[in-house]
Amino acid sequence: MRVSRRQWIMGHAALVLAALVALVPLVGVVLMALGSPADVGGKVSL
Amino acid sequence: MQPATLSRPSAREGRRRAGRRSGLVPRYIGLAYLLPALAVYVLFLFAPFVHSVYLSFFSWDGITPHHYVGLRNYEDAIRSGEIRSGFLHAFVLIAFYALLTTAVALLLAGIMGSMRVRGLVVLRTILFLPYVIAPVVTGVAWRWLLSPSGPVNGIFRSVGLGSWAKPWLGDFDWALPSVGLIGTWMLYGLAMMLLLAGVQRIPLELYEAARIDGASAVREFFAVTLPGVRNEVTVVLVLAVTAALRNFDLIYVTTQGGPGTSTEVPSWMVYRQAFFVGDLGRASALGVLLTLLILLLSLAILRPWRRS
Repeated sequence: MRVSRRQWIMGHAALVLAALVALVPLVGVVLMALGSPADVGGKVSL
Repeated sequence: MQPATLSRPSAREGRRRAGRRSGLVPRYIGLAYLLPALAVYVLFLFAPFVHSVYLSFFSWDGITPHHYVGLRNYEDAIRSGEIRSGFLHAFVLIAFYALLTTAVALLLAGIMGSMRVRGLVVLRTILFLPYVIAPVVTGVAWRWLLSPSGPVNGIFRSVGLGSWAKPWLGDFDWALPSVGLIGTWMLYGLAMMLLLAGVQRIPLELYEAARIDGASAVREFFAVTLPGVRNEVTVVLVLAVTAALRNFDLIYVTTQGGPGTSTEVPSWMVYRQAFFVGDLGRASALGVLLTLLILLLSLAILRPWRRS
């Protein structure tokens, strides 16, 4: 469906924001667990 | 010579023949197929619930002999201010789990359904990710994220909003909303997937007709998208309300009902009454009340849907 440029930008901005909200905490925790596991209450190794 | 078309035996005749061959009435064959699932249901859900109802009429610490107290456990539960506040906390969580989750998911599904989005599959996977992670893992992760020296407070301090930094899960005013937001974060991916399935079923002609009539994006959402996903919204609301009222693992990992009793919810109280206080009768009564509440709320949500 055709949408105006403004709607397209706002829609994509909302979706990117939602994706960041879903992903950033998870990635952050994994990186933190690998970097300094004691801070997240455990020990992680790959 | 035989005719070109042979009359096929009716389905009933076929079933009767099959039943005769196996020596069983066909009706019982159907029930036999249901039996394994029914046995699991009765053994692991129905029987424990009936036992809980039975225990709720007794005063019992789990070790010494129990004695019958009638409806006293229920009376105590209803009169107790602490338990009433626990149910109140559960309703606050419902606001987050059901209303906020549905609103966010509707917005996202509406956007995805109304325009061509590049990388839609990747985006859907990312948004669904929080739901597939175990609530305990989610709880541990968010406990760290929201800790006084965690990243959330770190971001506030780094942008000059240090006064906003606080121990989110240890603050009397903010602990319950924080748990609610974590729950919203967990559920909105699932809600979005369910609603997106509904949005994709709406005929495109309806959107085109709305646009020809000069409808704005907001008007289009309320006039076309929202009525089109009414059934999916009902399913999402039932799932979210049930999740909010059954919420135990997240509370256990993040706050353990604290600070004070500010995040105590009925399911946590059942656990505390049973294993800390040692009053299995009262814990069972609470569990039964919680089950009834979930049942009533689910029926209240489903009733208008069934009527329509």
